[in-house]
Amino acid sequence: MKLKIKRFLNNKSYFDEYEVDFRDDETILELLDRIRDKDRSLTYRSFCRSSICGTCTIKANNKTILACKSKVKDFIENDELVIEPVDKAKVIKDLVVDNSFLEEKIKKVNGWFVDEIDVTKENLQTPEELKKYDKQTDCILCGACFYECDALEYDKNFAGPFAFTKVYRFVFDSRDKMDKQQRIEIAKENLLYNCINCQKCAIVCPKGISSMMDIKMLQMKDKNPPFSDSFNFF
Amino acid sequence: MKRDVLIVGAGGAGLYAALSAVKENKDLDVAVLTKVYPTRSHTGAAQGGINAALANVDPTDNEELHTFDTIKGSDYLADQEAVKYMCYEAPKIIRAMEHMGVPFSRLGNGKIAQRPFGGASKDRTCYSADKMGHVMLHTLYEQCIKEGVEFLNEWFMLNIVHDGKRAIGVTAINIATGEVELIRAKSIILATGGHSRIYWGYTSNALGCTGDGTAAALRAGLPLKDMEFLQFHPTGLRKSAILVSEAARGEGGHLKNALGERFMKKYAPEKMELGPRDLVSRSIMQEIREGRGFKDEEGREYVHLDLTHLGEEKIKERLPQIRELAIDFEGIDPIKEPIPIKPTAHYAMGGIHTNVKCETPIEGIYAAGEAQCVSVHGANRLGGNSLLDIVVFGNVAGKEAVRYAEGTDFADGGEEKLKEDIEFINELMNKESKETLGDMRNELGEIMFKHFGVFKNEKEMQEGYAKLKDLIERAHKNLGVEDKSKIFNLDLQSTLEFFNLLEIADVLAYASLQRKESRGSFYRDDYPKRDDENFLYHSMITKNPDGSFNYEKGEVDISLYEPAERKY
Ligand SMILES: Cc1cc2nc3c(=O)[nH]c(=O)nc-3n(C[C@H](O)[C@H](O)[C@H](O)COP(=O)(O)OP(=O)(O)OC[C@H]3O[C@@H](n4cnc5c(N)ncnc54)[C@H](O)[C@@H]3O)c2cc1C
Ligand code: SF4
Ligand code: SF4
Ligand code: FES
Repeated sequence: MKLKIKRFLNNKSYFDEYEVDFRDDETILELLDRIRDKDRSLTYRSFCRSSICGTCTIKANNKTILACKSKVKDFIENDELVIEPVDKAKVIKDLVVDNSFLEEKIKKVNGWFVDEIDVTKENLQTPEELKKYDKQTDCILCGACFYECDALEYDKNFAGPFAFTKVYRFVFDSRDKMDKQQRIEIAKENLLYNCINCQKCAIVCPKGISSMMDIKMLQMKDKNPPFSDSFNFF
Repeated sequence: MKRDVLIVGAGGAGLYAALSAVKENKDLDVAVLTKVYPTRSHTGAAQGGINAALANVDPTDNEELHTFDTIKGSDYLADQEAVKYMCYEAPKIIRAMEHMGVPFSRLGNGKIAQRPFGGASKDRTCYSADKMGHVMLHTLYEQCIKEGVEFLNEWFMLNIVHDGKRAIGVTAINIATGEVELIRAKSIILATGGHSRIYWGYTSNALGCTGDGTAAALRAGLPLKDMEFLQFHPTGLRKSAILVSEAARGEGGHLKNALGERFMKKYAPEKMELGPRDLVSRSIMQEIREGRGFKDEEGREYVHLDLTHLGEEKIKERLPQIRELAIDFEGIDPIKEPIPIKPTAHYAMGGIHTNVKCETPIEGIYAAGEAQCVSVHGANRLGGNSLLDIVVFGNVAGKEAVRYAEGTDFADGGEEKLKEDIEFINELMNKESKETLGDMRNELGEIMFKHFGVFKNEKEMQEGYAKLKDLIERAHKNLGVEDKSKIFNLDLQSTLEFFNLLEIADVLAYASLQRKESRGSFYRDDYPKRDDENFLYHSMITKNPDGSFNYEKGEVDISLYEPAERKY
């Protein structure tokens, strides 16, 4: 197999090329680790190596993936694998990009639970109520949805798929004490209605979350939609 | 740079400490310095749950039983008043986190659900499917952002600086730029996590669980406690050693050998698969030793964790992440086939010595979380007690650190140490590497697993220690940094982490040789019995300037329960 890895340092970028074999069950992260044993300047992030920390997001043959969760054999095309950094974020070095947008976007959408702390008793919540937002709490902030999102091509102020999934998670959590419509208004300030339904977020999410659907649900819950006459759901 | 309270580490311990600190005093500058983005921290990998005697499932449960189970599980090496404090805080802190938004799994009546876990006498482990750590970490992170905690992300702490009496600060590299700085702090909390990566290749831990804070503490002259105690979790995946949570057995999974026998009936007839971890790990290794394990083409030996009888629905609802891991990393769907597993190095009971107030012997320096050793886990931690420990003592550390910072000013000094560290890094950067870092790390893992593994004895350990000494010498002679750029130099970072691992492995090996008994996770074939007369003490190790170790015996608090034999 031919392996190409995009390198970047000090404003210079180029491709390294390797001829390599790979094991049938080898992950892309394991393959990169093998290459790095030979060239220790090759730089990429990795941590848990078990698809739970969201660190190792890169592009393999133009698809945004978690390197530790993806098998080499599932991504090669014509005996070639091209590894690149993700889109829409500033590259710092090789496959490492600036991820400060994560904190920034969470701040913008008030992405935190609101309640008074009471150590004497818990909020009650039925399993059915939990189910409404449980899936959304699986998000590992890997950013894959953000790097692929078409709405961000048009306006960088779009909070991004994962950020709206967070908003959804609080709006549909029966325990959260912040006014639901207020949460939705904040989401709207961050361009909730800019989503163009391209579905890319849903396709790339390694945790099977569809931010597109979450955005739709938030729009449906909006008591004060911006263009209620002409807007057609689904 | 200067911060009133500097927390090193953004796992559960660090984030909880930060939250407590900002809530305690809004006027102080509280910053969290972390080598990985906060939500990458290893706490996120915790699956099974967190213990608290809420008595939601079993009304007969209470804090006292939790205290006793923990002490018994620890093989009587835990400090009993400290355990009691943790267990009585547990229900309160769980409810506090519930009000922060942690999405706990629920019972039909809306209360927090609880499941059985190894070594616990009641159904006490609160959970969120099998992603407890993940949801805790993200919730705490969100709350920190809400409260305005400052994050110094992707900074790597090198050393702790103090003047022999009180804290000065830490030296750290800003990974993005490669600049080394002295960050002054009135108080410092070390929440840098565990060090199970000394068993490289044989551990459930993330790549960065390299005990950096613990090694830095040792270099700074702080005592490390009970370092010989490192827990092997019974169920790591065969190929990657990635963890399959105890929840799999809590939900009714069976361990089976190659003859199809549920072999735990021989070792823990009553508790079966839900015996404490040390016992279950040894039982698995015993089956393998006696030829009743499986062996694959690559020579890996293992047994089966069978979930198939639980049925598709239960597995999908309660153990979705475990299923995903088994499919991704073993190519096996646990709904249809048993999972191949073997014990994996998992949790460091030992760490930086503190008292119950998280204080180290140096004023203004605190430790919390897996890096810390109070000790509440003694010789063997119970499942679900670490997530509890990190938040309970994270909370204490945050408050104590604020209290100290309020009454003091920044200390002077530390310029010397900064200069030394910069020189050390420059030297490493200029050195040509004669050996491969990856190979050396694997070698370390092999030595540790073979010679300081589930079963130990004098001969094996002496042989292993000699190999380790040789590896340490070679590493210092032959290892340099090949990536010569300053920007995001992860080669430099991995090299520094490796040196930390070597330092920790050295202490662990040394401490292991001193303990001539078996207790909890620490098992020797040549001394198979616990020996309270001679070894009911905490080992305390400091490093002398010439690199040799000082070994002292610390008292164990047994004021509540008389040590007794453990039976399960
Ligand atoms: C796979 C797995 C499953 C587990 N499941 C459970 C469970 O179900 N229940 C339970 O109770 N326990 C469980 N545990 C144990 C528990 O998760 C850990 O002990 C606990 O999360 C440790 O938390 P911590 O905050 O101390 O450290 P960590 O979460 O490891 O965080 C350490 C932090 O320190 C930072 N850091 C480290 N070194 C440096 C440095 N040099 N410079 C700057 N920053 C640094 C890191 O960036 C990180 O933010 C599990 C452990 C594993 C490995
Ligand atoms: S569906 Fe909407 S949110 Fe998702 S990627 Fe497309 S534009 Fe972005
Ligand atoms: S929603 Fe999915 S793709 Fe987006 S950050 Fe979260 S886990 Fe990643
Ligand atoms: S390394 Fe953690 S998600 Fe890939």
